[in-house]
Amino acid sequence: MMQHPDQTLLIKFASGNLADALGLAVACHLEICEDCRQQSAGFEALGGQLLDEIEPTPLPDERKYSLMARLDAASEKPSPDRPAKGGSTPRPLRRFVADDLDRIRWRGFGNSLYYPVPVTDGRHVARLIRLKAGTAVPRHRHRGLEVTQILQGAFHDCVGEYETGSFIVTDPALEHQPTATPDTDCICLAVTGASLIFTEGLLRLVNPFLR
Amino acid sequence: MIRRIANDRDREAFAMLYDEISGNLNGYARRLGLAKSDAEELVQETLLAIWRNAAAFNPDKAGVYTWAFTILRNKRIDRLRKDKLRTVSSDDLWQQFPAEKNRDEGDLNARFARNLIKDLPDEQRQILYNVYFEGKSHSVVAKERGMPLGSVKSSLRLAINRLKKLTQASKQ
Repeated sequence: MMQHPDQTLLIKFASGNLADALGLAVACHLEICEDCRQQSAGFEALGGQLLDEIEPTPLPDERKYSLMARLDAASEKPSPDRPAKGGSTPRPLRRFVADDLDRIRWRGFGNSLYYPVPVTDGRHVARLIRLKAGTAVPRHRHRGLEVTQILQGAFHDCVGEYETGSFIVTDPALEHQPTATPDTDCICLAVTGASLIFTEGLLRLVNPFLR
Repeated sequence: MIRRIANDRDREAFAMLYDEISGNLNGYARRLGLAKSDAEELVQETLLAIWRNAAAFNPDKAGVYTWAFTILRNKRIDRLRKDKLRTVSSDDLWQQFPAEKNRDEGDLNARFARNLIKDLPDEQRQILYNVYFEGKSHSVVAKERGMPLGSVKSSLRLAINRLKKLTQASKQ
């Protein structure tokens, strides 16, 4: 079963309101999902339509003169795109972690390893998680929103089976035990809401004084 | 027009494009809540990027306004981000000017977009714009449109449901 981001997330992404860790998860999904790419492009076209029919606010003439004067200096300078091919790491993550998922210096021990993705947006915590083939994460529950984008392999839990490329939003009420399929390690990008974690940290600090 | 800008580095064509879209870009930038000078700088950066990258414009994939919209969106994200390396940049989220051109995908996108625009009742589309494209809260939208808050929320819900249906239909 391939899971996808819902329309609200896609429209936020396409309109530029998801420039955060959650946006990275959507971008990783779009890289392999043509349906969602098409929807996102459709929402961009909605933006184009908005631009077309909006009430114009003219700029002062000086802005035009100064821009025209800058054109020569600004001649062809194709913006460098990071290569689409290369390692197995999805392109949206390559500025933050190694190009190849196998070259990541995983932390932790046992069947479930992790690597923090150093994105700071003040709202989320992003991690890569590597679950060894055929093994399970201990049964757990989430405190808030968690989004999981499967980058490699597949897993199943009590709700269903998720194939490579799935974008899964976990219900905080759900207690589950993801288990990787036996053939290959399952690697996911997991994005969780940060506020709860920070609040707890603060509470831990504050509590001694309250007593 | 964009082809003339790309192939001949035609300043006259660029000036025409400027006259056609700069006011619209600025109108949108202001609706995003940017101050006058910030909005004007964002519009200038957007148009400069159009001049620089005109060769990458692919009319099979998107219209001029859609292309300009995505460039403004990206420039805005990167302005907010400034030099903070650990925050997300538009480069991370979108391949800015992808080299590969897939005509089939472009046609599908255009058809899906046309259906979106045709099938969404105008008021729902405007509220969708207010909330998602202009980043306004539901209560601000209600105030601006002189509607009860509940009506804004239900319009938005209807719009999203319709988008879901269109999406399902486009997959069949």
